[in-house]
Amino acid sequence: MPDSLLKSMPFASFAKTADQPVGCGQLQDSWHLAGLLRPLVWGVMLLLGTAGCTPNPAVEFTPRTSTTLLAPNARQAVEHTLLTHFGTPDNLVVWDRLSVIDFGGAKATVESLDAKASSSAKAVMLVTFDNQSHLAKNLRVGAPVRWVSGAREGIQGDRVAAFDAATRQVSIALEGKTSAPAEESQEETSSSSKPVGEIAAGDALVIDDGGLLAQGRVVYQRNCMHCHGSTGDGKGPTAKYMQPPPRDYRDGIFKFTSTQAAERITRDDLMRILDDGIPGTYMPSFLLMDPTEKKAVIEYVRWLSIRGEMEKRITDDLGDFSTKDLKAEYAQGEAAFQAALKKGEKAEPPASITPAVDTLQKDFAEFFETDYQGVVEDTADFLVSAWERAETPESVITPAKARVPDDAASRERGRLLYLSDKTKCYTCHGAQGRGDGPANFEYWKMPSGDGNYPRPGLHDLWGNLLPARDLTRGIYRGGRRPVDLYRRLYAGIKGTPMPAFGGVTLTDDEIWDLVNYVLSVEFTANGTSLSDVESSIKKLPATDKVQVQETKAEKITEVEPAGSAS
Amino acid sequence: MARFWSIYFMSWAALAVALCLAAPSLGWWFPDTGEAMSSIGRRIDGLFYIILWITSIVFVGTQIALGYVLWKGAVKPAHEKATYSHGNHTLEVIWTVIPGIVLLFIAIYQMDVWAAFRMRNYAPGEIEAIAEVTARQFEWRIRYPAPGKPLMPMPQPDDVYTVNDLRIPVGRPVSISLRSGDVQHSFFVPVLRIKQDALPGTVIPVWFDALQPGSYDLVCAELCGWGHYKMKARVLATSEELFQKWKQEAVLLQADDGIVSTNPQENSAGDQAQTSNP
Ligand SMILES: [Cu+2]
Repeated sequence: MPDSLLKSMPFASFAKTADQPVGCGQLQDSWHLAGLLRPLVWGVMLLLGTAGCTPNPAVEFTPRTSTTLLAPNARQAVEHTLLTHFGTPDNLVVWDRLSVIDFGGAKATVESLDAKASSSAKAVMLVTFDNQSHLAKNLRVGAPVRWVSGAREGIQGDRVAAFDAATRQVSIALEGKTSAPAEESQEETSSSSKPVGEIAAGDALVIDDGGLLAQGRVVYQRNCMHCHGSTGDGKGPTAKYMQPPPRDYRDGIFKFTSTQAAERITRDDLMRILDDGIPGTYMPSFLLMDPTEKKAVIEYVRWLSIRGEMEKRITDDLGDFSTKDLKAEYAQGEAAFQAALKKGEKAEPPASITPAVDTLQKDFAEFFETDYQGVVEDTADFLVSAWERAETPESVITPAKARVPDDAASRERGRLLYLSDKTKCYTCHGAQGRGDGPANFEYWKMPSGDGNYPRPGLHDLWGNLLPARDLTRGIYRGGRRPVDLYRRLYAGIKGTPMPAFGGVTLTDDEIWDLVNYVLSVEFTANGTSLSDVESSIKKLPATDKVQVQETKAEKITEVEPAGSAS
Repeated sequence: MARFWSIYFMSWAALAVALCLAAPSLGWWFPDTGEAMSSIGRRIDGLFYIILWITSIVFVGTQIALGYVLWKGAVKPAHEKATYSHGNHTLEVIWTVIPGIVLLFIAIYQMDVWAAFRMRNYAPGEIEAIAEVTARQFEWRIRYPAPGKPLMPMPQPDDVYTVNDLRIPVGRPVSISLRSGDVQHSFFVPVLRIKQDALPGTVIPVWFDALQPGSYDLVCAELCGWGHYKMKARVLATSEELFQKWKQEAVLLQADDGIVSTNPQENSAGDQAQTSNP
């Protein structure tokens, strides 16, 4: 929907029903020119479309397969929950429960109402900001206003018409309407703007509610969506050209974090990934992106991740109401029936699954009355505490001891650890660190319990083939600082077979020895031939030859092909 | 009607000249101030302006001549027959020899700039490379040697790395080793007037200088894939002193073992150098 991008109108509403249209009038005025140009833009896009470009994907949150396999009423309940608490990409919902998300916006209280300047269409007032005055400076005209208390509470659609940062005088266009359910709105006629007199000193309001999230949405749709998808499922339009495939955030799991094995990713980790990119993958560096845009998009990715995990956890909890097995069984029966028909044998078509699904639906209707809300609440509690914990200092891995001096003895100790059965590094990364350990050639069980993966080799949580890293390449996806490697070894790589060694298997000193060894593999890999060494030395100025021999750093590394599998 | 057409055709030429004259003030000219920020860039601009002047004079002259002929024909009474002439040897020699001389002048005049860029001043590889710049889909990965060491063709344990951020000292010619990690890219710094293709399998030395400290856009000028537009980076030119200071800090940051915080804000090294720019 390029139309929605054209408007690029950041807004978020505190909508009970998320499909409530929140007007974009304020910004549309400035798009008069764009309105004239739109036929032209469409024409060009049509041309591009016929020239082989894929049409833009719909901007929407798509459900997981496991959600679509739920009994129809269970699926409806899950989708309604998500719609209520998260909305759609075009109509984001600020859900107060998610205290771990900075939605943006400035909380304020009405100090006094200027009755003379106010009218039924516009309220002029002085406000005090709750220690977010820095935000107040950036308030923009047209920003949505949400009333937290007072007579206009629940009314949505009010907007900032004018703002003076120095005097804290805000003028609010009272365009809002009540979002009352249908039966109530019959009493109050549709245009139920209440008279301005009802705004009183002490009323609390949030100005530009969800502003940061909405900005993040715009940045995300522009820079990230085409790989990571609108839902964050890693299935954007360009994803299919990529190896390794883009991350699917919906499990709340990110690979390269600074946190303990069981913890979520921190904002700082996401910022580091935005700044540095992930070498060896298609994730590029966004170093030069505007800092506020970076902050906004990080918040949006965290929010998408929470939304995705919320869906996953609720759907998993409703596993009893899944039609997956029924459908699989039916498909099997149908296949057997068709096969029998082909052979000319007499056979019965499989029984319809409709009655079984109906039973599921009945069961769920009961469950919905008694337990469903509890599941939603528990999931929200769980997620909020998990993401909150990630930001605490305790969840970040800080080595207890400084790095062991990077000398030959330490590297040798690391090498022996690498080859030991304590770590079993070599089973995946290979005896020489070339990523060719035997585990890469074995068949592995799928975690879902549906037997083995169809292909031999290691797999990640998302079911993608994941060859062990070739340590001789010198490409460190999670960063090449010693502390980065320490954390990889300490907490493993989340969502992958790389295990966590910290705390239990290895001591701090042992981890540092391993770090020193791993960092040296690039330069001392056994594959280096004598001629490589000589040719490197020949290229050096005479004075430097000794030095290079000391560092033993002569190895011709190939240029990493961009598409090399992770 | 004939008069209308002669005016109509002339108005397009007049519009072209007017727009060209107005272009710099409309921002339709070279980026930033319009002035090149490298010494070779200024000489290249000099060539550009000389050629622009020559072509402008020729354009205006021919358009005036054309307009004169059109107008003369337009005001002639309709019944008057046109005179037919065939060939004027002198005229043909003149309009062949003069452009020939002009072209020869350009060909000889530009040789000095070309030689300065490619041969005389700094033949490829003659200046010590300051960094290796690897273009890949879709970013610039940059490798610097450790402070006080030369850049080695192969990575060294103490190398310093950045992404999309090429740091150079200001005021002296520097060279980079340009390579590609995958497909063909092009290293383009518009304000420095430097453009060089990056070819897979080849290391290409590129020299340039920055006359003033500042942050200059570095973009990819070769359509290299769907993410081509993402290859936006910067060349950050600072004083020699700040450049060395930044490198020392970057070495410390890269050796971070999570214990001794070498810098309270991990990403602040870059901002410091930037803010301390004059
Ligand atoms: Cu490129």
